[in-house]
Amino acid sequence: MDYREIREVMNKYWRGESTLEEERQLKNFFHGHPEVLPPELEQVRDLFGFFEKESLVATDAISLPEKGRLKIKKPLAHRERYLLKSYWEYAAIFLFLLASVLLFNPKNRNEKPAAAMITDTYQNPQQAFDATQKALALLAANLNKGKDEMQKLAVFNQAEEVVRNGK
Amino acid sequence: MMQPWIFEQQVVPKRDKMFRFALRLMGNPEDARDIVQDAFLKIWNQQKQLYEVENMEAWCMRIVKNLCLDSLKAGKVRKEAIKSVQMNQSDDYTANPYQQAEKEDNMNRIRRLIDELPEKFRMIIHLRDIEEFSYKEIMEMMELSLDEVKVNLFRARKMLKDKLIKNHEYGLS
Repeated sequence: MDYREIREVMNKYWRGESTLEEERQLKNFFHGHPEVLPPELEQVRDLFGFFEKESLVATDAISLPEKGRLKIKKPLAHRERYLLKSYWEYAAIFLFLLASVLLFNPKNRNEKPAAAMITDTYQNPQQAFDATQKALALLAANLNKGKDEMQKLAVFNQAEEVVRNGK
Repeated sequence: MMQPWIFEQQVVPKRDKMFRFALRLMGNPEDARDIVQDAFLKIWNQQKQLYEVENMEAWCMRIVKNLCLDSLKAGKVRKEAIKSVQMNQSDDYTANPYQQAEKEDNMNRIRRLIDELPEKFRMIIHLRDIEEFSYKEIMEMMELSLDEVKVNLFRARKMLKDKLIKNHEYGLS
């Protein structure tokens, strides 16, 4: 490449229109021409020299992540997953059985024995009859109590209905 | 599950590019190494996504970029010169000590000019001019559209050119 061609490529470079291939040509040109160049090219020689040099900077001081750290995130193998799943199943079955035993064991239930349920309050049948009669009379006396007041409340309902229909 | 050999074959070889990119953004080798270590761990932990990645290199570089930007935002940057890494990279064995020193000064001058560019311009100059990535790859790495990549590259080079000219005019070289 002669200077004229290089200048053209340089102009394309500054306009951001050069291809990667043309940019490599520029690097090769400056690298391969140690002699003094025309001022406008000499001015950018160091720039391309810098690009070339920087691309060779390397580091060997970076170690790979430690194997132990990498294994932290390692997914479980199929067999491990299966075993883990089984453990959960066994634990669920055990808990179910334990709960069943605790719930259905008569010793732990609050139910009273049948004998306690049929114990009489009164020994004398006549006394029992009187007590029952008294209880029923009390219930009957209070059953209709407050009915009149409730009927008065019904008037409000009727009034509300009239207002609604009136609308 | 990611096998260690996949990691070693597809991710580890990108180590130097990742380091250089981190170095460009962080400005010192210690932070750059930390970033690459963190990037390795992050990539390993995202192993499920690995199989969906089309361009591994672009993905790795994007992770590095994001880690660097997070770190810079959090102010976790060591105040050390970048110089120490590059000083032992001198490859011109034919030049005499004076010429070598002059060349090194020129390299440092260019580095300083690039470091003065805004972060986005610095990234794009590095990815294109040093690492020689295509526009499409830079799009993925920087999470920009094609037009944005072109516009930013144009502006970055223009700013760099202005700085170079100014530098020469004032005889700062």
